[in-house]
Parts: sequence; C-alpha cells; structure tokens
Amino acid sequence: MSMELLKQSFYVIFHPFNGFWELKNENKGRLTLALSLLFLLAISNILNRQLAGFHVNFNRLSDLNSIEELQFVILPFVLWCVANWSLTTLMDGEGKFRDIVIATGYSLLPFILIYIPLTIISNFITLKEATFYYLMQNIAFIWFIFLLFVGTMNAHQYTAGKTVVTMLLTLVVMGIIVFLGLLFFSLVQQITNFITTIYYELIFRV
Amino acid sequence: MNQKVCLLMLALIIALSGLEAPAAQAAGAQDYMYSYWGESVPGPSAYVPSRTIDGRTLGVGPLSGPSDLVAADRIYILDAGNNRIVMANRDWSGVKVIDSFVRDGKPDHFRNPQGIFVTGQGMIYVADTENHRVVQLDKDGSFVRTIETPVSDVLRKGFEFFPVKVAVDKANRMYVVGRGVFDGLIEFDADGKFTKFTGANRVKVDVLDYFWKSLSTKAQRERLEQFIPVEFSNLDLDAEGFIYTTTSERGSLTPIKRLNPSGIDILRREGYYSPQGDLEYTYTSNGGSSIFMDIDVNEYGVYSALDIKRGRIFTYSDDGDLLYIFGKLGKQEGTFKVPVAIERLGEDIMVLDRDLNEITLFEPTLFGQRVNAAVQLYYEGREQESAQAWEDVLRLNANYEIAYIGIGKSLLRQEKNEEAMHYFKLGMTRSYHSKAFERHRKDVLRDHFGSVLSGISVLVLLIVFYRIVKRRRKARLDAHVHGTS
Repeated sequence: MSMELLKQSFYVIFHPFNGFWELKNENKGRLTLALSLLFLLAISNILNRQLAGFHVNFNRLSDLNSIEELQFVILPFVLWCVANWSLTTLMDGEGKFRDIVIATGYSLLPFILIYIPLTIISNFITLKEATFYYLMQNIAFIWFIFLLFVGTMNAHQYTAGKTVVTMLLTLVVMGIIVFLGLLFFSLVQQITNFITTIYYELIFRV
Repeated sequence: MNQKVCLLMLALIIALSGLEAPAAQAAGAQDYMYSYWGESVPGPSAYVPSRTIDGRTLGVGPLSGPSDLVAADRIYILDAGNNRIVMANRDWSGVKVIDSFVRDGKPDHFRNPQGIFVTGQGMIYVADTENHRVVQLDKDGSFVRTIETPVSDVLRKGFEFFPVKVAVDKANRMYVVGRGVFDGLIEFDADGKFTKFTGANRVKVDVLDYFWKSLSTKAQRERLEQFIPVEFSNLDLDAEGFIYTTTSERGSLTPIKRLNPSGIDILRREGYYSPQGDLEYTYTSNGGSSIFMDIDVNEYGVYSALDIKRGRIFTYSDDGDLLYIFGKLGKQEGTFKVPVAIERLGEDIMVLDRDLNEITLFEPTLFGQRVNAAVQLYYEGREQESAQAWEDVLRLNANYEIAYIGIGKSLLRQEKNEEAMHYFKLGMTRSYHSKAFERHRKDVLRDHFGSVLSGISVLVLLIVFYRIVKRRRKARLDAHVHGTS
C-alpha cells in the first residue's frame, strides 16, 4: 500500500499532467501523504540549513533554531493553501480545499529529492564548484513551480492563462492575510495592554 | 567546616584578584572589536594613553586651535590660532618655533594655516589657508617659495583657493585638499604648476531624488539641493607613494580610499567589512556613521583613521582587516573633545585635539604590539614568525578572528592542509578554506585512489559473475521445464 503511494507520488512529479488528473479524478491522492511530504520538507530544510557545507552555508549555526526554521516551510504552505482556496472559491475553481493541499503537497517532492543529496554533496565541494550547488537549488525551485502550476490548473480545471493569473493573485492574497494577521495581533496586544493597565490601576487604588 | 572552606576560598579570591589588578590596569581595561558577524565584541585594548603634551609642557605658551600634526625627522605642530609652527625633536626636547619668515626681504606671516607636510628631505609645506597659498620652507624655517592660486581653463570662474591639507610625493608632485573643491585633489607638478584634479569622489544620485527632479520645474530645480560630490577631509602618502584619502560623508561605505597616480581607488577591501569605522550606530541626528578627519599610514601598510564623531581611532591592515579600535570622547585625561589630527611616532600614536589644545600620546599594550608585529612580519613575507605572533595574540584574546586566518595561511604554506582548514573555519574565511579544502581533497583522493579503484573493480566483477550464474541457472531451469513438457 505505502509502496503504491510512493510510486504514485513519483509518477506525479515525472508525469504531472496525467498524475495530477489521477490524484483528483481517480481519488488516488492521499491527504496524509501530502502532509508527510510537507513534514519531510521541513526536516530536510532544517538539515540543509544546519549541515550544508561551510562554503555554501552562510547561517550563524550557533543561533539556528529548528523550530523557527519551520516558519519558512509550514507557514508559506498554509498561507498558500488558504489564500488559493479563498481566491478560487470566488473564481469558479472546482477544487476543494483538500485538492489544493494535495496538489501543493505533492509538488514539494522535488525539493526533498534534491535537497537531501545536495546537503551531503555540499560538504565535498569547493567554492568554485558551489555554482553547481546553486544550479541544483534553482532546478528544484523551477520544477516545484511547474508542478504547482500543473497541480493548480488540474485541481480547478482552469486554462493555463487563468492559472497564472490565479497564482499571482494568490501571492497578493497571502500578503493581505499576513497584513490582517499582524493588524489583529497588534490590536489584541493593545487591548490586553489596556485591560492589564486598568487592572493594575484598580488594585493599586483599592 | 563548610564555613572554613568558604572563608579560605574568599581569602584566595581576594589574594588572586589583588595580584591581578596591576596587570588588568596595564591592559587598560577594555576596548571593542567587530566580529565576522558585524557585532561589537569586547576585547583587550591595543593602545592606552600614556601622556598628554600641551604648549606649557613644551614651554612655548598655550596652543590655540592647533590644526595639524606631522612626525618626520622631528615633530611639527601647526598652531593655527597663533599662526605658527612648533617643532620638537622626537623625544619632545629642543623645542623651536617658526612664527614668521622672510620673503623678498620683508617679514611674512601665516594666516590660519590648516595643513602641514614635511618631506623626507625636511622641506616644510604649509597650507596657508586664509592667505590662499601653500608656503614651502626649508628645514631651518627659511622661505623657499609659495604656490599661489592655480590658473587653468578647467577651473570654474570665481574659484577661490583655500588650501586646507597638503601632501608631497617623492617626485615633488604636490596634492592639495581645497575647501569647497569637489573635483578631487588639486595636483601640482614639481615646479608648482597646476596639472589636474585627481580622484574625485563620485556623485551619489538617489533614484527618488532623480524622479522628483525630473518632475519639478526649472525654477524649483534651481532651489533644490545640487548633486555635488563630497570633498576630501584629509590625505596621507604611504611608502609607495599612493595617496590615502578620507571623506567626511555620512553613511559612506568607502570613506577611506587609496588612490593610484591616475586617481583610481585601489584600497584592498578583503576584510569582513569594507573599512568604514563603526558598523553599529544609531540613525538619530547625534548618531550616524563614523566621520573621518585624518588618516595615517605607516611603512608596512597599516593605516589608522580618526573618527571625529565619537573620537575613535580605527586601525586596519593593508588587506583591509580591522585590527583594533581605541580612543573616545570625554572629559578625563586620555580622552578627546575635537580630535583633528593623528600621526604615528614609531609604534606610538599621537592625536591632536583642536579644542583641548593638546596632544595625547598612546602607547601599544602587549596585545597591540603583537598585532602590529604579526601584520608587519606577514607584510615582509615572514609567514612563520607572523603565525607565532598571531598565537601570542590569541593567548591574549581568543576571539580575535583574523589571527586564526594568519595562522591558517602559514599552515597552508607548510602544506598542513587539514589543520589550515580548521583555522580558516575559525577565521570564517570561505575563500582560503576552499583553497585548503581543495588541496586536502586531492591528497585524500590520491592516497585512496588505488583502494577505491580496486574496490570498484571487485564490485563490477562480482556483479558480472552474479549475472552469469543467474543466467546459467535460468537457462538450466528453462531447459528442465522444456525437458519435462
């Protein structure tokens, strides 16, 4: 069973058009697998930040916090899915939230496939050969964007042009969500501040 | 029992701290450094103030707003407020004063001179600012010649010559910093004729400024601030005749420049950060980046720049590595109010204060001496001895990152690649680490090439053998199946 799922996910990244079709219409996509891939990416990202070779690793290792690193993987993923869902609901997208999460999750596989070996190899390359490292990173990124494009197109049954527009708009919506979130937190902070101030006023006077 | 132990410990601590106190004082408490990460970190002082010298100690009456200082065969102090030059031997004895000179049979005086330079032959050049001229005197103080306002087509109309700083190279070419001159240093040939402007600072244009300017009308544009390059604040010559200049521009990343004869900046910026003084500062009206007023280069390429904003002296090696920082503004002895000139006296450093009318003399501590020695030995190509000096430095300050690079370079020369890698990593230099790693990797591959190759060939043989056996068995099985059917 699990072997089958693995085979399916590899089929998706090498044959995205057929693959994503099967995920949605033949019900072969698994939410758990999509989320496990996300988890694996978080792990491989942390490993890369921590263990990549000195020549390509510009992080301050003594200050690296694995939990904080999650915000570069989990947060964008959640934001993307929510923003995309909010947008496509208004733009006649056929995809359900589940479809979006599955499509996005499966698209992350190239990152995992390339990052883990790349992290190991980066310990054995010189500064001159670092170009190769950055090239591979770019390939992973382009592959991911392509898969995300096909996945989104398939999930919502859009045309190519509409998919591109939707993806760009999703980025804008992500920005709006972040802005609203910050606004909300700032307001809550001020309210709590206000209440605690009144509380202290009271207990000092009474 | 427990109490007794505690008491004993206390006594021991007091005794030890008593022993350590003089040593700590000798080290002059603490100064700071900038690490690879651009953070200020505490470190031992490299220089400590040893004495102050003013007009009274020299026996010439109080100085008044002194503007410049030079140490050559003797020490020359340009006492601008009193319009005179005060000279002393390098041990501050034999004080002499030049307050006038005879020109064409008539006595002549300086008027608010701002810059002085003394050549190897002892010729004294004074930027006689308010008299619009540079005066050349010989070593006895008698008049040689003046260099007056330059005449040339490239000078704009109404050009007024206010020389503030002057320097003369070995070929007797003269470089002058003029007040309000934005075109660069004014260069004169040996005969005192204007030749050209050299090394102008480039104009910084903001995209936003440019946008507003393109929208505004002509009348508005004329009222706007003009885009003009920043003028130089000071200059010095190094042993090879290159010109070091400082610029008092806020927030500049290249306030220090080293100009070659064609006026191109060739300062080496191989350190963690480009030489620019403080890296951490506030952006309030009182804050801002370091503002350099003077620079001094010594014979092995180490240069110290004087920051008037916070009274600090930043010293860099010829590669642009930050070596040490010391000095501060204040009201105690050994601090400054308006520091305007810096000069090396051997390994000592003198700082002239315009407001306090005195010179503060700084002496290197053991730490400073070892840093200087390490840089000098490396400059002279004695890497081995330089590495030893760096080890002494590390014993005094284990966080001194560039010392690790120094040791690493020496190890790399000795082909101890793996150890060199370790030191380069501590010194956070990826380029040198990569160099050492490349050699190390080659060594490892060469050593293990035979075994790796034989391992692979054995593996290939095994696979081939397995395939053959498998095929044979299959063939036999097929034959068997066919046989029975």
